Amino acid sequence: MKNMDIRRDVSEALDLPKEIILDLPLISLTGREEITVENHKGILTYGEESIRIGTKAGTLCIRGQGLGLKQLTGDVLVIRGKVATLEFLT
Amino acid sequence: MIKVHGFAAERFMNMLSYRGVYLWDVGTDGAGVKMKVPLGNMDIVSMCAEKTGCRLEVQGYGGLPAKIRRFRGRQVLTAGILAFAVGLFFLSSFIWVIRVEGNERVAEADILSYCQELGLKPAAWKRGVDPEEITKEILVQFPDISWVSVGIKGTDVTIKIAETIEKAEVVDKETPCDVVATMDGVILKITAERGSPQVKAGDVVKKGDVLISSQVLIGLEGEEQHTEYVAAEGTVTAKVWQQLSAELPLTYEEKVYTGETKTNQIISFWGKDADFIQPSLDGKEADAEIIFQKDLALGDYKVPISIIKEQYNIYTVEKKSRTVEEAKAELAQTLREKTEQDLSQYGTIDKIDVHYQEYTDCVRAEGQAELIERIDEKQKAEKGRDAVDGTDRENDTDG
Repeated sequence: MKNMDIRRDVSEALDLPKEIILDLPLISLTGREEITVENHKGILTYGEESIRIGTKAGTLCIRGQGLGLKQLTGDVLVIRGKVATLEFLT
Repeated sequence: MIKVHGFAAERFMNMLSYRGVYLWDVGTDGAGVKMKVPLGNMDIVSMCAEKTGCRLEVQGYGGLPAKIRRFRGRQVLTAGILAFAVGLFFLSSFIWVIRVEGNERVAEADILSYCQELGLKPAAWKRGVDPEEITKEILVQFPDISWVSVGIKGTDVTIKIAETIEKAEVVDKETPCDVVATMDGVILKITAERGSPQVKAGDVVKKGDVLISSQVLIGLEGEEQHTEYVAAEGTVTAKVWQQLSAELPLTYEEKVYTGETKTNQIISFWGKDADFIQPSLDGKEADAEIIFQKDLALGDYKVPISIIKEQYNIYTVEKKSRTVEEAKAELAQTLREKTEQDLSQYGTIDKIDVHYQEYTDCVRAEGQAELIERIDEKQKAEKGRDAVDGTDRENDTDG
């Protein structure tokens, strides 16, 4: 964990993007109909009402209606649907 | 489009994305998950499904690679596409449309026909046309054109023209000429601007007589005189007569159109009509009238094929008759119209005398129209002959 703290300090001191230095997810919301998650660590559960995505910052749980994966590559994930909540479980 | 069943569908997707396989349009379908994967990664997909214990089902192929795979082995289609491309390239290397812009006095047809001589015409090979050469040639050929630009854009050629400022009409005052009579008549008025008048009002002249001579005597009477030749000019008005005659039968046939029409389509090749289906007229008489004609063309290049649509107006012939009075009135009308048509722009009708002769079946009209007309016309003088002629006439006028 100490390693992590040093990295955080460095990124803050040098004003470097944290999602690269700390490998944190970058989550972008387009209204409430599309979510783009970069730097994800894989899908944990998949369903129309809820999708759980593993990230370095914890498990991200997206709830909504008619959710579906639009794109899935090694580091980018795009979810389409009507988003209701966005929650970090741990 | 594939479909996977099994509890470890998420694991399957994670494994694919970890191996760099692109997934899109993922959706649930009952118990399983549907998704799209690239066609080239199907071996990795099936391997991953095996590892995660998912049941893999291919639901269909879509997209460009699958379409190309489907059309593989259809040589005729490929040949058709190739032939289309080659044909398009071939046809676009000709000139199809030629436009002329900016001409007011120079006729478009003249420019186009001259361009045709130079090799610029519809269906001409584009490479064989040199715009600069044509620009030069047009400038040489047409003195009224001061600037030309020939532009080729695609298969269209646009010839832009600027014309010179119009020159005032030059009246030739140098070449000696006489004014002669164009028809027989009695002179009413003679105005000579140049030259010596040979006739005076009331004189009877015949066609071809010299009215105003090119010879002018210079010098006062009694002194030494000499003749000079000028271009005679002037106006001469005269009363002329015209014989008229017309005939009109008392009974006549008139076409009465029944209003019934039939149409006929014709395709014409090289001016020859190919009329495959002709409407039946049932022995009725009809006038054919072309109501539609379309000449096929590639741009401006005329293809000798045209589509013609004819309409047959069916009529019946009815016998009618008119009274003698009606016939006379109609005859007088036709005679007047005929006279007016023949009249020149300066002429007027003085009066028309008509005599009618009545026969059992027709009326004949004979008449004489008195017209007031300009009868002057310029004619190039031959010096030698005129000298003799002129002196003769001069004596006449003096006496």
